[in-house]
Amino acid sequence: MLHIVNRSPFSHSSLAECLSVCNSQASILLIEDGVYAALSDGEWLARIREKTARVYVLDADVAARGLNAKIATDIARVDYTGFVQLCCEHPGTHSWY
Amino acid sequence: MIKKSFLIVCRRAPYGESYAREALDVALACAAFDQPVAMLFLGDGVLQLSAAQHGAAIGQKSHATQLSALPLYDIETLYVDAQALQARQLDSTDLVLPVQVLAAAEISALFATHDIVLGF
Repeated sequence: MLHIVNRSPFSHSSLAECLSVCNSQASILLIEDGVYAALSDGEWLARIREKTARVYVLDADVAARGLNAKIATDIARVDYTGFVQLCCEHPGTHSWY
Repeated sequence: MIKKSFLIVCRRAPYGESYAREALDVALACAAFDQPVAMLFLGDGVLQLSAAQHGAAIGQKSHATQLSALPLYDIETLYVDAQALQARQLDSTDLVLPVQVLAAAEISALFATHDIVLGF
């Protein structure tokens, strides 16, 4: 399952609830304000990594928010084509908004 | 008609937003087309099931009363996140319907075992 999170973890419970039901098989794609969860050395990134190594951010949303230098460098960045590809590669998707 | 299993994920409290009502509408629509439906209550979604609700106090129908009609539509598989209940000082005896209280690992499996997962 590909879990898509579009809310900041600092103001919404979306990511926390997503993580509560994720296991190591899960993939997480952070889009829109969800990308704030990928700040390097941040508490949320640590919580994501406790659950799964498969974490992606949407590059355009990172750039739009001026976070290019602040997102952990070892997180995979995808463009819109990559977003579609991830959706196709997984048996299902679920949006946490 | 081809049958697909539906999992309706409810994560919002009733009354403040329309998500709780919309989730119920979708569940009933699925059941009307003879699709097998299960509902999963996570986070604030567990508050939808609280039997103590009295929606009339704000001029609305009680959401719990509406949920209590689910068995009439053959929707009897209701899953609740144990941690979310505990955090909100509820237990299964406070709820309007019989539910299956699940730990996080069991909930993970639900996402993989249903054909269609819809979030509200």
